[in-house]
Amino acid sequence: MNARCARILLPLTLASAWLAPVRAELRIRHAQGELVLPQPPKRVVALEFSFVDALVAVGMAPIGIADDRQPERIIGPLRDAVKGYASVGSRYQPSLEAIAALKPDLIIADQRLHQAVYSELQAIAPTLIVDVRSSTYQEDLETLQVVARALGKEEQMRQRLRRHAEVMDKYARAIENDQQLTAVFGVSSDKGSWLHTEATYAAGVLKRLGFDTPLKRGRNRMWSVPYVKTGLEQLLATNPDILLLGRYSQPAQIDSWAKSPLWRGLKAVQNKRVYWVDGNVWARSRGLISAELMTAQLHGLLRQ
Amino acid sequence: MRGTSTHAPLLLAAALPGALLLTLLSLAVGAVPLTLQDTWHAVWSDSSPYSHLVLQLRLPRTLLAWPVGAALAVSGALVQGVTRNPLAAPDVIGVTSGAGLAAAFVVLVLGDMPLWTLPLSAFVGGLAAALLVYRLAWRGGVSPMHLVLVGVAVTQLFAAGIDYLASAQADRVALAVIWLRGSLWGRNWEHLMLALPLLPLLPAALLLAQRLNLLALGDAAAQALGVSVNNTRRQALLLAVLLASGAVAVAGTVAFIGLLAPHLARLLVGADHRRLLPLSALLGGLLLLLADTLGRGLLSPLEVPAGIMTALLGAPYFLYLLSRHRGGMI
Amino acid sequence: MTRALLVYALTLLALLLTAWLSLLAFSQHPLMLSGLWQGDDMSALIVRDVRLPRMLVCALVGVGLGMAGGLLQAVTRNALASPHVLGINQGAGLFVALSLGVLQRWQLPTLAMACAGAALSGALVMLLSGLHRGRASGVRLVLSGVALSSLLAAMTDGAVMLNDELGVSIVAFMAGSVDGMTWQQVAGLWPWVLGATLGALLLAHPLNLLQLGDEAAHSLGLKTRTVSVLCALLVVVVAGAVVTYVGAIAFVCLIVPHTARALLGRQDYRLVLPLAGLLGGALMLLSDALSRLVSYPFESPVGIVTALIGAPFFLYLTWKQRR
Repeated sequence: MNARCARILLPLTLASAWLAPVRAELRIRHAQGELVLPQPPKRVVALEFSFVDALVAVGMAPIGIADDRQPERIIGPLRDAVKGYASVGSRYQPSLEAIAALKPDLIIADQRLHQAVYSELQAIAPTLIVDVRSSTYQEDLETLQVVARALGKEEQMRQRLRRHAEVMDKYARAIENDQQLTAVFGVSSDKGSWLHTEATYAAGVLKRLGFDTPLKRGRNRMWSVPYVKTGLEQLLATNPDILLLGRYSQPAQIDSWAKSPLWRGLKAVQNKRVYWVDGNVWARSRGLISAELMTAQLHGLLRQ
Repeated sequence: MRGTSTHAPLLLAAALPGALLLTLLSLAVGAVPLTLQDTWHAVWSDSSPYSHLVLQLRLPRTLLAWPVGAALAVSGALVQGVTRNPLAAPDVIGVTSGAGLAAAFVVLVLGDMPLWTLPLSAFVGGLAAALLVYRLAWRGGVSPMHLVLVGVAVTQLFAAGIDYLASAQADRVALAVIWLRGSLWGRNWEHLMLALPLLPLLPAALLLAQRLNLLALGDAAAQALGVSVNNTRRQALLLAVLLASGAVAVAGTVAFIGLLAPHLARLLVGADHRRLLPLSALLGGLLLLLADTLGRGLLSPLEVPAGIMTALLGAPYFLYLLSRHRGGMI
Repeated sequence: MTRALLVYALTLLALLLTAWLSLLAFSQHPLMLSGLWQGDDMSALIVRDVRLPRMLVCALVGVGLGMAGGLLQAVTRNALASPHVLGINQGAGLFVALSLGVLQRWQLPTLAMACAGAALSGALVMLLSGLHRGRASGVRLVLSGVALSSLLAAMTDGAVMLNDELGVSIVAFMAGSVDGMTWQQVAGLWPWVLGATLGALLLAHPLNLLQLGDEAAHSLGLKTRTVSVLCALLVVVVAGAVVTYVGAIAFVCLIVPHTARALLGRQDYRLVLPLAGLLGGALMLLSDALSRLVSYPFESPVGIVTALIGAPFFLYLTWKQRR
């Protein structure tokens, strides 16, 4: 009796053991409910720069990127990793045809920009929708987990995030903001200057490194906006210890302010802590790798 | 009257097959360029690899160009008939800015709303704005001049409102702009369904054609010939507003078609509304289709929104207008 | 006559009050009037170097726009005309967008570009409406302006389409802002406003005659076409200068001449136009002050505030007109 049972049960058990790993189905909760992928995706199209960052962070490369047809917008550390990708147009209105032509098995889209065409995207390939445009640095780190789950690379992302935390801690210690200096990031063009308040990505990264911002705006009020247009008067009132600026045009409005005697009233100017940085990295990229790049840049600047 | 009557039947005969050919051509253009043969194959057989591309991504938006373009053009022709001025456009009676403000409000202030609220709010906004303009312009009747001036001022008002929302919510502006900018990007079969109610309105406009012809002779003359001036104006404006609001609700604020198409039609067949209205409709659809096709094909995979292409196409025509007109029409 | 004197006196008082508000109010720093002539600390410097030029620019802009509105309403004989609808702002905006975007590598100065854009669109609208052939009416002018504006706005949209930061800049530009004003802008603006004021005063009497109707004016020996063209030119120049430096300010040109006429009780442009200028100045200064209050401690674009004040007021005016 036992031998006969064993002869039936053993092959069955072996068979089921063999079949089990093939059920590599992924289930992810996102803004549109639950996304189900039959297996980990290999051909991914990224419709925002943050997603490119996330993919490269776990060793993958997207086959298509919505890069506004300007490949220089992809930051340095990512460029080599994504070589050979196909552009699918602008982030605001990516070409659905171009995406379809790539035959992806996953599309990663932004909630603000692409919600309107979610059903079209879903018809092309399973689409993950997350919010990366109006989120803070901390929220972005959480979003990375969601993206990683969709890629089937949760463990790699967990490790990468641990490494990221170590890198950020290391730099925070090296920078050592024991004087509790405040830092603000802003952008300046010919027509105006905008400062990033605490609800922005740049402010989040700075906070992680120990620099608080005097611009507390919060996001709960209906009219609270993350970026505030600023005049010289407001800048003097804000008066951060460190001022980081992204330049959007040559010359920018800030250049004319720098000629005024009031400019020397700024603490950042007195302590020679006004730095010009790359707006593309600091304002547009919003990712794990770009945060590390920002941090390395900041560390380099502060050491001078 | 410029344009002889012999042109009209010829044009109409060439129109339908011409429209079909252009639609087919348009289906071939895009980020993935196709030959005409491939396109034809993709439309009719299931086995073509391009079926999804052509039938799901391109066909709905190509087909949508016709009712939307026609609606905008006829709306423009009606407004021009009411104001007796070929430079009038549906924007003038406040429809486009009203629709824009309503949509901007939904996107920028209310934030995460379900998608169907956008076309609905645009429609309601356009209608409400036009109503406001009409009430404000009413002075025992509506004189064209007063209508235009009130309309323009109210448009300014709403445009200021949109500017305010845009600058107050700078991080969400991109999304609003996507919609405000007239474009057929991302429009699918659902949007085509939404545009279908516009179709019966087009022949309805024809019923007003003869009365509009008489109105062009002047208020007093028209009245003497038995036309109820105020009623005709009211009906024509109502139709114009419904057509324009409906079009804007589906495709966003596509500039210029309401201005250009009737103008071109007038050059071809003269000012008789019985011919002008149908030809305007045809030309309107054609213009929008052309703009969308060029927008998709020029900087592929970047898509230039149709509303911008119409403006770029319209600019040289504008300069032509300057050199041509010796008064009279304008 | 006494009514006119009273109105002028009150307006001047309002002007002084709003100037004071614009100069000193709603700041996170302790600003004092004495800062104008003494003191080297931050507050005094802010009053002298930041607030004062800004206040002067606002006053000049207000005067210019008020008079431009009055001139346009006089020449079109309609109380609802405004330079804003002529497409001048959009023309300036388009050229600025081009210079910052596609033509960026040529480093064209924004000021010159805005000026060129304003002038070009002004010329186009005049040509389009047939003003140069004496065939323009209020409606033609306005319709030409509307058509041209929508064309230019769409082209501007195209120019900024690829560049989201540029889009933000253009929105800010078009919304009208005065927060970067320095003495350079004051120096650039005052000749135009002064010229426009003188021109307006000279044209005031002919404009009075024009209100009687084309034929009546003709019979009185008035060269209606010359007056129309000169008037339109002044409007384009002033509106163009304003938009070049400050962007698009809504509603001042629309409601101020109206209010001036209503306050004076008559249509004599020799009195209405200067008053419109003063009222415009007061309105701009008030808006400037309030723009610092609306989302204190942050600023709002002044064009938004003029719209917030002007819009309901305008609706009220149009409603009253129905009677």
